[in-house]
Amino acid sequence: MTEQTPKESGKNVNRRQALKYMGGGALGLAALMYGLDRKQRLAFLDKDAENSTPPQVNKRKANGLDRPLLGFGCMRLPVVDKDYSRIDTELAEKMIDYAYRRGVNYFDTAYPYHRGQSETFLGNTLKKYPRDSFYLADKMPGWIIKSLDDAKKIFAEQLKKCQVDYFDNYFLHGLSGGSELGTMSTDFSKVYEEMGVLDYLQQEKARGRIRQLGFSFHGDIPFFKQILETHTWDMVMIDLNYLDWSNTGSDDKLKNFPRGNIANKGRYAGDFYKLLEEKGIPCYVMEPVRGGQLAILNPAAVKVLKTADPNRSTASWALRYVATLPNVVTVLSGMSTLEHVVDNINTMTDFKPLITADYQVVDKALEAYLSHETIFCTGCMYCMPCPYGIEIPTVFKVFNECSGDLGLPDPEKPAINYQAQQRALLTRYNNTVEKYAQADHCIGCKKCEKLCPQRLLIAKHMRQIDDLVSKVKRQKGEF
Amino acid sequence: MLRKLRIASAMLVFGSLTLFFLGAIDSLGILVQIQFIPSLLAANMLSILFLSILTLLIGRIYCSVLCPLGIMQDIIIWFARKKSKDKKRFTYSLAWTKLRYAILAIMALSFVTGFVLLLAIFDPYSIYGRSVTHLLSPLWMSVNNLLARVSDKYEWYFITKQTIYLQSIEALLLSMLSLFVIGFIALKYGRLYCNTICPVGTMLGMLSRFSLCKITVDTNKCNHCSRCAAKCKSSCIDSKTQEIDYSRCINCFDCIGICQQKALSFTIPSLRKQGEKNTEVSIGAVSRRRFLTTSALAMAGAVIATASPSTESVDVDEHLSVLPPGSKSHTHLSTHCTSCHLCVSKCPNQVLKPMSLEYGIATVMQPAMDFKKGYCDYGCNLCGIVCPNHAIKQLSLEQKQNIKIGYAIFDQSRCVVKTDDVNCGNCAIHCPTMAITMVDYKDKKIPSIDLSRCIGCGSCEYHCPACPGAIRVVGFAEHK
Repeated sequence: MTEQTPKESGKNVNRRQALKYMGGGALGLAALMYGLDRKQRLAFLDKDAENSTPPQVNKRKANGLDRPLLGFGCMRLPVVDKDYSRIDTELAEKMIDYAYRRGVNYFDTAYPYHRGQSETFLGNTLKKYPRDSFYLADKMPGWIIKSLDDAKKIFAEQLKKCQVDYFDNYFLHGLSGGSELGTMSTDFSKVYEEMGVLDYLQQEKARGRIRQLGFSFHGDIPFFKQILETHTWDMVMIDLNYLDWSNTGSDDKLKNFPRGNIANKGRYAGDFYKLLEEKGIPCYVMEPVRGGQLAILNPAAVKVLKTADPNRSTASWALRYVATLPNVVTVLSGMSTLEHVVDNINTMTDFKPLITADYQVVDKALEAYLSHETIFCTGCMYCMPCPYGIEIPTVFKVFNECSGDLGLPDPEKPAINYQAQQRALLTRYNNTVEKYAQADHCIGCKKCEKLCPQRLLIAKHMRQIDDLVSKVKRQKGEF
Repeated sequence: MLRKLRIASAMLVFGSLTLFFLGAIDSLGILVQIQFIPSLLAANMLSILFLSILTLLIGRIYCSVLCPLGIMQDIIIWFARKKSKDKKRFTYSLAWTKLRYAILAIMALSFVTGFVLLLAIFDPYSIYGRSVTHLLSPLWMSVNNLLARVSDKYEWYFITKQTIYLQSIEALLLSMLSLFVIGFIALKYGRLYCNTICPVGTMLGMLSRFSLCKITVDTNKCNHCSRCAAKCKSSCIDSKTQEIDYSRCINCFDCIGICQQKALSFTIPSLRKQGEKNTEVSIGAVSRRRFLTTSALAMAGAVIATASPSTESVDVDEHLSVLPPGSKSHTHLSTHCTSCHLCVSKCPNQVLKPMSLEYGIATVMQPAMDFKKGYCDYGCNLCGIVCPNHAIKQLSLEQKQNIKIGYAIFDQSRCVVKTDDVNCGNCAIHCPTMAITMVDYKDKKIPSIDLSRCIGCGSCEYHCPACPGAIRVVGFAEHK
């Protein structure tokens, strides 16, 4: 009896303490959810502003002009309430200031980004800096142009919104095959050649309102060759990353895996790069991390990279892969959090190119990554809004995350952790995507497929996801 | 000891019932199946027999341990006693016998005629069910959703978010009103609701006066201090005459412990030592004949209600609402459902929703399909399994999949294939019985419905992208 008493009292105290901690924990979690995160970031950025001479990112020369190795893409800025058209201006501006202080002075925007808010925001943010201390790139949205006057109007509007007299780089936005990508990419010859928009832009270049003229590209090789041969360009922007580079890696095993753009077999980003290198046209890179996909990968692939170098982030491998290529001038990254900015700047400061051993690591990671089913969506939102209300990128994101995390449940061949897979998929899907925006509402009109720069077979993927989810639901008894 | 046992079992029953309603547990549905009025409507003789024998053996233990609304009142009283400085005291009062039997007669009439709305309003279990579904459940879901948000943030996906929406304004208002009135009565007069208004209380009261075990007063020990009467929630102990009204005593055993003279005990009265004067029922007693007539009436009603639901004719065109499979017909559901809304809170697809006044007063608050938020899943027969009234009969999956609860109507002028000039076919893809085929229409395909295969599950209506929907499901008055 005498022995038991202290034990019991100890138990009581423990339980009480445990309850107290649980209560405190819940409060703490709730507090984190409501903005402390953002405050801490802002505080970090304010403190950094006092740091007068931070190390600068590496620079490259193109056509005799200096360009930073890292460019700030303004398509995925931080937003308020997940509303793509409402930029979190305070945080975004401080992130841009942080980057500017470190020599990341190349900013890339376009007419449709953040539903038109990106240009306005950049104009307001950059006006405090001398015009010759930063480089600004903008693009001509060819798919909405119906006449030469439209183009003139839009160009004037862009200069006004950005509050500048000239653009350092100006691109024809998102050229591609034409027929396939319908509205997104214009019929190049119709708009730029027959309507005379390209001539007009050349005139603007002669007037000095455009310093360098080029195009950004999502199309196929024949079309790419045709444009390169028929016109002269100061630079070209292509999407380039180690996933899309080629169909085979250095390792023979990888031949079994689909590489490059899965939906559009035979389109390998490496081929475009090689063409540019041959012609000596400076190459700007977009989607180096594939919309964040190569920063997340999946646990198996992350493990490979972390084993190789625990101090490097997953995304840094993707940036280094493209920045190692000699003809690449600036690698654009659409950075939406402070962590992205800090990490990318670290990678590009005192830049270390990949060596042979590193390439082997990348191949190993890719092998691990591709062994899980993945939809190669970059989350660029070009497909949105869906006329039938489906949140296409979000649905794909959930699918990819579930696939990479625990693996997707396979009702025919249940894995050992099948129950956990089921639960993860259903809960994640239900909690992330509203019921009315889920894949079962896709009617397969394929309007989105014409807009997708990655040429994903969106309707087919939606059907596949709907089938999987309804099968799993029925098995689990949650309908 | 007895009191503690009573409290413990009552808490257990109340807790599991509530969790069952909220969907936190899936077992212990038996507690719902033995509720009195539902068993009566379901003609569940086993359950009625069990409850009658239980009452004849140990009195109205049902009211203090099995009835969720009764337990809820006890909790309210307990809280009030804890909070108030001067302890809440009850006093003995006479039973409102005439009112009691008048209300019971009205209830019996409601039962016999099949207009069960009155029964639905006063049945304790249904009041409790509606309160949980419309008042507690939204709170529970908001806590759940908050937790889901937190755990999602840490990529810890195991709490499923729930959609909270106003299911039925009528049920919400009615449950607020009932809770307010019953709570007020409980605070002021204890179990007055159970002993005057509640039809179950009255019926069991008629049995409990003849029960084997009772609380008895040892007249030699009792000193008329009336502590027991002050504690008695049922106001049924008259300490002056040392008599207890067994028709109202719910066997809460609160009085036994409070008696300092140890004059109260729960025993079989006839086993007491001879020479002691025992008190037996005398107050507010009704004749045995009356008891027998009333119960005969109730029984006859049960037989009529269960045996002849389909004899009444129903105008087919007036009823368009789609009723859950197993509810047989509009008549069957409307004469058997007391709107406890267990099916509504259990429906995994949130397709069941209480009806509003659109189909008349008799069916208000009873469940019907609403295909805006979901559809009746082909592989689910849960509503029939849980329904204690057998208003929705239990069906095997195979039976459910073959019952036609309604039929789809296609309006070509609204179909997106026509209006938006796109390929669709989402209805055909999601039809579980393949009743919809896509037929040629200009250069595209448009749905065509095979009514012989359509079971009226509403999957097509839910998945139709057109607004307003091009395909909609209309209910059958009689399920086929």
